[in-house]
Amino acid sequence: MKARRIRVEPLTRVEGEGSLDIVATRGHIKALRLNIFEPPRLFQGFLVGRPWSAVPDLVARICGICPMAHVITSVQALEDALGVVPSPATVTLRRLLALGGWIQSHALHVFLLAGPDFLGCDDAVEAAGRHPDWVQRGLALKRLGNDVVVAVGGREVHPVTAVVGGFTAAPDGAGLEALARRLEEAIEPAVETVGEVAGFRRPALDRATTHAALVDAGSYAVNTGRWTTTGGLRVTAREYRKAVEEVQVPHSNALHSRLREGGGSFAVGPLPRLNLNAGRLGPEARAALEESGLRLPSFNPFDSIVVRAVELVEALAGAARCCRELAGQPDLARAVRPVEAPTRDGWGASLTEAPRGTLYHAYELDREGRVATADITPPTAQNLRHMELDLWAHLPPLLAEGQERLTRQAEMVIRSYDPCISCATHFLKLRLVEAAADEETALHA
Amino acid sequence: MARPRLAVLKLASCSGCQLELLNAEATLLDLVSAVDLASFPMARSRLEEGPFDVVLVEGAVVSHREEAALEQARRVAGLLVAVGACATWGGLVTWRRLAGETAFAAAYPHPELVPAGAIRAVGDAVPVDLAVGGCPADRRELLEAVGCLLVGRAPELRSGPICVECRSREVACRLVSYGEPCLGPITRAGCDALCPSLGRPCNGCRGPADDPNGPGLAEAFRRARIDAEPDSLGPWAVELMKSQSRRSCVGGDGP
Repeated sequence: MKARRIRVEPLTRVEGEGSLDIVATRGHIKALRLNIFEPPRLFQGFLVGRPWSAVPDLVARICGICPMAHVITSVQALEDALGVVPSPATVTLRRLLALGGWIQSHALHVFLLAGPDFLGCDDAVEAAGRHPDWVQRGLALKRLGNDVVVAVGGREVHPVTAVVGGFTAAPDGAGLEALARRLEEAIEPAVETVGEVAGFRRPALDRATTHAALVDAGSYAVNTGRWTTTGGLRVTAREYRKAVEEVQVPHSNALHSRLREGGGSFAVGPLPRLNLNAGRLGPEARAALEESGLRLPSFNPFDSIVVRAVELVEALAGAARCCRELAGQPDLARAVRPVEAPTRDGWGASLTEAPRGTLYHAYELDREGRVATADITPPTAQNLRHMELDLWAHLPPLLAEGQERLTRQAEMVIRSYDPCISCATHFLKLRLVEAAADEETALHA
Repeated sequence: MARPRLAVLKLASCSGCQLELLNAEATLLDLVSAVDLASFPMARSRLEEGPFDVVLVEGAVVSHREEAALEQARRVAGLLVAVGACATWGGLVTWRRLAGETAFAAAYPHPELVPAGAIRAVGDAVPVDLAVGGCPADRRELLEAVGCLLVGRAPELRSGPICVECRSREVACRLVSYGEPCLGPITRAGCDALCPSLGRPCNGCRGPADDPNGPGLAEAFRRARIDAEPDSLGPWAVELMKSQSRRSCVGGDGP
């Protein structure tokens, strides 16, 4: 009997290179795999032997979209290894840098990458013609996020000021006040966006699964907290590797993650984050969430666009609060000046919430303070298996439909994770061929 | 008149250089009306076939896959521009040299499953019409370069060292005033001395200036009693400290 073989290659409007292969017979998926052919860059290898001081600049280059997340996470892991405690002002300035990253990344995703799907446009270029206000608003919010990153880090891609122990420079009070005003003014258009995306027709996709995110006392988790799952697991950064293992699969240059206990897949990212942290939203985002009518917990990845819009409000309001707090600091540059770090051996780990979900870095240092081992797990690597399982659940009823609709739905599932494949190691052009049934065995789903 | 057709090709990279195009929010819609972004997978779903007037290539060649993609791009490109450190001179290329052969084993439990090959810059695999370096490539330079190419003029990219920019911005010298191992004297200008103006020495991310004298700078570090292993000065320092043009000589006036 003939099986239907579908290939979507390459995946577009995501960061990095990948494709999707599906083999189906009589409305049933026999095999499905998300191929990651993003070329390997071997960061964990480059890092071995490097002095700890060289690490943040190197790991920033893992990802051009979230360099700030890799810098902050590496800096915190190295501080853990070296026994360095940063000042409270440094902690706040790092939160501001991270939130600037959330704003630019979420604005890019909501307005320019995923939004066009829901507006019935091919992409942002087409949307710019048909919905110019939408695209302009997205570009303005994205610019604002980038301006936060520039104010704190010096430039958008690969910021330079965040180092182990503190920052080499700090924005001045007047600059922070001006930024706070712009952030506060942007809350209203961001709240309107929540209402608009909540009105987008979103397919249903619900299956029993596990979500995970950092949960912190008091505030919406960004750079600190305990990694918590909807299954009740709660671990510190130092305990993360005991809870999650990485496995290599033949069709992917990115490793897959699974929970050691039970071997199950899990998802990280905005949706898991909100499911686990809704009670810790600030008043602006909480009101926007209530207005949206989104019911939590939600395990439907298509709800992610609404959640990103809610988080955009949270990040704008949170960043404005950080700016106000830091503007009141008498001599900020001095307050964030890097704490002296010793040259010594040690092991340290850090977990942060990057825009796409939990990011893990751990480093073992030798007696000369050089990296002996580096262990880095980006959000997309943790999500890959979960994305495949979502596709298994979502696509069967659509198999009878035309290739174009099937491709679009598959891409929308994957895009809802905003995958960053460079981090984890690109996206979908669907090719449909008739294949002999025995070819199924060549696809190890 | 038809708009010029532009394509973006990603090899092994972090996507930071192509993101610099999307980070030009204020001019992005003007760019889209002036240029047909015919193949830009990170931003567009419909990917057209060549020929293209300009192909921007980001990243390095690490296996036969990128090599084949790059050769195909060269065949359909009017002008091919290498963008960023990975594509032009450094980045992955120099880091791999730094790490040696152990790198694969450290990153993957089963290195044999991962495509492997020599890591090369774009210009080492195909002829390149223009190189715009930097990590990331600076979007003002990138847009200037694309604009110039489309009107048929050679772009003027800065070629002197970062030091020129520290002087013009009146930024105190990290080397002389702070005794720090600054790579500014041998690194190509164009960032307006970003790092020195933000309290840290230049780490060389923009690649070598014209006439670099790496060994001369190492000598200057020794004379100033600055103790610094090149590999502690950032990801590019080891290669940069070796760079020396024929006009420069060790023991001369120094940087």
